[in-house]
Amino acid sequence: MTSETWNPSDEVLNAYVDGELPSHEAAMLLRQMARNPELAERVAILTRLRMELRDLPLPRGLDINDLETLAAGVPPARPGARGGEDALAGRGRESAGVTGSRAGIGPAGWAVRWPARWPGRAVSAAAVVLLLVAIPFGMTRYRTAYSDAVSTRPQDPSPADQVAPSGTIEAAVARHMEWLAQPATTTGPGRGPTLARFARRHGRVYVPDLGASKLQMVRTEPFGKDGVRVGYVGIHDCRLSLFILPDTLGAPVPMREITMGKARVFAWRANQLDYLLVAAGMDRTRLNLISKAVYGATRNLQPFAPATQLALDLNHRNSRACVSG
Amino acid sequence: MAICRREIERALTPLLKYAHALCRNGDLARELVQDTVVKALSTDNRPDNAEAFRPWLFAILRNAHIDHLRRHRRHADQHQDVDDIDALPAAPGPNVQDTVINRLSVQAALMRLPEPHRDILALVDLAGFSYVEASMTLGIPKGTVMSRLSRARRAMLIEISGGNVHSLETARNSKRAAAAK
Repeated sequence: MTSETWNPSDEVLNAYVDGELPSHEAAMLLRQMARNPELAERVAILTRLRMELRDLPLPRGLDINDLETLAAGVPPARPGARGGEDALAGRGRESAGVTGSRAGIGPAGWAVRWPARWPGRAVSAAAVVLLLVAIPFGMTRYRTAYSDAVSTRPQDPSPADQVAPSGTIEAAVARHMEWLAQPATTTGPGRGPTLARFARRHGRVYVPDLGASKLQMVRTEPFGKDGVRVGYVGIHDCRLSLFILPDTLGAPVPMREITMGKARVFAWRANQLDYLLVAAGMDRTRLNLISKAVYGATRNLQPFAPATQLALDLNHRNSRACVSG
Repeated sequence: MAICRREIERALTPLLKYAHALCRNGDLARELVQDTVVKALSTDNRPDNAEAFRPWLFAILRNAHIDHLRRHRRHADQHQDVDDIDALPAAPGPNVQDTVINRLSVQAALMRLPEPHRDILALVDLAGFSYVEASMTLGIPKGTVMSRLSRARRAMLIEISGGNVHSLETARNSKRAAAAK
């Protein structure tokens, strides 16, 4: 076959524009194109089509930075499950990510086996606390359809739905802002005994490891009469406080967002504990994602799912730096 | 796990593009990608080299999409046999003009194509797969990838031109026939 007699097919032309044609055939095609403007035009059209396809952006609304949906990669509802009442003794160690693997149901209903080792820092103080106190009470999984659960509408909750006693949220914000005003160097190592004492007294506390979002737990301290504050610090001095308070009312309360000055507060009740997540100046999407992940973890009493960790990690990389002051 | 995470991070945007091209629905595309990521992270049976990882990852998404169609009993309606798609009009017509190939026309035409065409175009053109990678993902020989891609791009050009354009081969032959007269 010579370039004189060669009649390249559409497949050959496509392979040429895709760079998949062997070099000797590509050279032959080039010689033909030099003599045949019509053939050259066909190749030009295919090249243009390929370029336009390759450069197509993600459709509107499919921004990769919008990772909130990806973060919902946590186990779905188990019909009839209720918080803290299922006897799952013996599974707590695995669920806490300490060792082994466990069977679960993924978001699409797949039976999945979680990795034997969780990515990142699997064994955290939080996991240990969970291990100590959660097994006797059992653990359960809730549906974590975050977007349905979070209410950002301003409303006055009824007393039964109110998270934390009156004035507590204000006090929590004040404590967090006071902490923000301190230099980063004053943040000392975590005070584990505070959490351990809290866990012994109230049980079933789960303090998440936020390492996937580059936030390290640096401080735990008493808060109010019976509560505890857990302080997290990021690599650029981003700070986040998680307040945990015992609550005897029991009924879970969905997460709601409250804005107080520069601070954003996410408040919910799960497993007879009130949680207040407070931050100021943090990238909005990052804080949204963290709050939803922590909300799900405290309800499920389980570490973050791999997809949630991945989403937190990617989101952190795409987030704006925290704004102080 | 580190390789897995790195490869997944790199593949997220192409995965989203591929998922959207398959299902033409933003919410469902996100779900498919999410399911794919969870599945990839949670299995112990992963390819241990980067070359095989991408086709494996995209095959997970493709299977998830097919499962979704089956669950919703729309598979029979939507999933056309790729061989049926080749029945393009044979009548001669003008060739497509380079100037009508732009982002808008290409995006709209892609969404109008049957699923098998969108599948191969999304893999090779949107996700940037080589023919070998596409053949691994689809589980077909490389030669079949070439013929499917050729048919899909031909169908694409027909869509872009609003149906006035037919096979490049047909157009070329018709011009030759006219010149010979």
